Amino acid sequence: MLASAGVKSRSRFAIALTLAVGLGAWLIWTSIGGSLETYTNPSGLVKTTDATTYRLNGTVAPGSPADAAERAQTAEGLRFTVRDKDRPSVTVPVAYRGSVPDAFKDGREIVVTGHMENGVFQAERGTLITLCPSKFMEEQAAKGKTMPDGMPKEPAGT
Amino acid sequence: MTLVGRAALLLAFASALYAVGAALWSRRKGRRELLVSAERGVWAVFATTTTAVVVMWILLLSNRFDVADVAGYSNRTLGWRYKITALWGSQAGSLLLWMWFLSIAAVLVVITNRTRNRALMPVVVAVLMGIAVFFTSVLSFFTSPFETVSPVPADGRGLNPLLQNVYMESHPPLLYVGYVGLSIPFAFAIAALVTRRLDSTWITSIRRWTTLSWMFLTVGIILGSRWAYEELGWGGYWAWDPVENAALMPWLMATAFLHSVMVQERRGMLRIWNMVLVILTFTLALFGTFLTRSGILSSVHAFGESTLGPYFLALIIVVLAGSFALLISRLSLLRSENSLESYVSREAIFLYNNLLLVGLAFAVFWGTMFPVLSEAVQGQKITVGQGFFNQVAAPIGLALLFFTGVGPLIPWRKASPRELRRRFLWPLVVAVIAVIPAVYFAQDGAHWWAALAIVLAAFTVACIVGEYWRGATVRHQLGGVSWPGAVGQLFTRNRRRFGGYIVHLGVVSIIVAIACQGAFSSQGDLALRTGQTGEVAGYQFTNEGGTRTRDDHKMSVGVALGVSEGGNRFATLNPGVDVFTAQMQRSSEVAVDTSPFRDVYVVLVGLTPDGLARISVFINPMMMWIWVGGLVMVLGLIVAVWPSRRPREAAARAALGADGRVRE
Repeated sequence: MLASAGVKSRSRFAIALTLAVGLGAWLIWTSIGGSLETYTNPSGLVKTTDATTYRLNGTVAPGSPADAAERAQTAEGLRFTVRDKDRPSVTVPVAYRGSVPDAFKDGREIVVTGHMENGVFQAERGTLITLCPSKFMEEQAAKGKTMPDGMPKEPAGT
Repeated sequence: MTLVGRAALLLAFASALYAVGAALWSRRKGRRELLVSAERGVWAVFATTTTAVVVMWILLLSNRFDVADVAGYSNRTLGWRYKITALWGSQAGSLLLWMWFLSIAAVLVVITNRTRNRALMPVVVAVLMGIAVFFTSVLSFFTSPFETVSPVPADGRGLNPLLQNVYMESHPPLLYVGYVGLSIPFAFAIAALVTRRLDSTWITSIRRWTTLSWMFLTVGIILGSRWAYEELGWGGYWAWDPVENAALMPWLMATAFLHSVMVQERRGMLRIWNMVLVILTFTLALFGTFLTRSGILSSVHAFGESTLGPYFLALIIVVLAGSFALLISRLSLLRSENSLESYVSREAIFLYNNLLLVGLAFAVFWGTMFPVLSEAVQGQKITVGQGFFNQVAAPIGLALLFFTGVGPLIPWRKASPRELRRRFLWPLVVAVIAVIPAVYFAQDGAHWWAALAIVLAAFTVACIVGEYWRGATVRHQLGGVSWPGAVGQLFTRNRRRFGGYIVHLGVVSIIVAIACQGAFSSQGDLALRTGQTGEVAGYQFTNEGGTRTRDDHKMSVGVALGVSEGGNRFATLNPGVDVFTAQMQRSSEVAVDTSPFRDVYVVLVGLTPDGLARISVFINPMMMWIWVGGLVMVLGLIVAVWPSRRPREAAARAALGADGRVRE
């Protein structure tokens, strides 16, 4: 593209281009500063004491409420536990309000943004994301579940 | 049956390998006839891949649960339509679909170039079949769609309910057609470099391919957002998820290429730049597949981690290194024929547009890859929030909108100030008038950028309408053609240009909708017992009773909501939740009331047995214009790529003083 630069002086074109690229870089730099969030997992959170904002990644520990979506809309909010993917013994309690993705259930991998406060991960509103495998096989195989022959029980609240 | 499928894929692999060899060998002196043989190899690849696809469909339709991908993505209760689409539910199946499209595209290239581009064809065939070798080898040796399982399950796991809708039936294939289509400009670019035939012939031969691929990518992306909007139930349509970005990056590059190509055709400039764009566009298309298949980034729809990442990465590195080495060795042949004469000229505007588009693609790339880069450098995985993407995309998008209006009005080479004043007078008047409603909407000043979008949109539309007006006036006055005839002639005589303007109108519609939705949407949650009424953003919602049903496929709950505004009831919305029994998977059925100015979007969060319905309400202004804009873009693209009348016939008609109405 530089080969096409023949406006009065080549250096002027170079200056214009440098300015444009500089402006772009500045835009990217200033924008990125405000939106950085460190990825972490329950093991990483255990050590923190400050109120830094993190994106917490892990799986939903067994025992999450079946009516999770509704609880997340109440004043008390939804309480559930996130388990470390690699070290299942490490868990963190999470308090969350806002919309809950359909795929949310025990064992599902999630990401949620928030900070630690008195040992509870206070999630920001509406930041809960489920990582949704389009494949069901691994997760079912992992649980050692066979295909349900009869009708499963209707989950409470739906 | 699975043996037939495996054999077909192996044969496809062998044929592709043969086609590469024969095509390259045909470049030797006295070996011309081998090219025809290589092209027959392309047909063989097409025939065998088609066989594999048909076999897979037969397996899916006949519930052959001994096949892993049938057991994993289908079951007995699944309707036949979703059994067909379950083909691209699995990883191997989606690669098979990609490969099938590639074989179709390669055959079309062979058919349309039987007499043209004969010197380029050996390399074109070799490149396309080289890609086919990669895909068929992956499908044969690493992830076969015909893998069997034992013991054979009694029933399959079923297709993810989120994928059971018309958007997911159409969105992945459309994106794939777009991706595959982009491999053809790439093949021609490499062929031009290898054969040193670097005039504009290769660019004109692939113009229609590029435009059509771009159209499919556009539709694929818009249907994907439509799917997110209707199925995911969070009231939005775009979240800068890595998978979304993976589709957006090649789209941005292809958009830049579509524009800069015109500079090369017209002025013989930007020749190296165009090569770089073609190579990067194709690489990004591969990179998109790599991102979604490697599990390197977590995404809302990371398709389950797979082991294919390294193979794709290797392919990307080979493609990038090979192409750029080739490009560098041919740099001396790519000298520009002309130089930029003024910063205010059509070619300069195209250059700005390119810098912005590529800059945005780079920013998206940077933001998407930041977690990987930061982990490599700092050992800490740092992600970039949506705020970053919005902050970068908003100013760049607005600047692009401005150039969309300005570009077509500025003449090539150099613009005289007098001419500029004349052409921009009315668009500027319109823009100034548009400031009044814009300021009114952005009362609190916090939404000044949405106001700016409205002003720029008005300006751009005025510029485009002005172009039609000027074009039609000339034909009406000088050609003595009736007014409708004059407008019709614009489309028949200069399809690409005036079709392109329609595409621009679609883009304006989408940008305005995005700006308004981003600035003025509102959200609220309600908990309503039967008969109770609640309010969100001036709209009243009344719970008029819930319903519960169940069949052998799913259990459903729903609630009837009367919606009114200022005492005027205008809709009944029926949001619901389905729970699919095969996987115990929830699926929200959102209800939307659409009008030109806003969508009322309701999600049923839950319904207790005693009738308490919890709902989430989203009021999304101007949402409809995203989808309308997408339709307009497709319309414009069809106008732009529609084959023109043969030159001789057109000349004869002109001599006869024909009316020039559109007859197609």
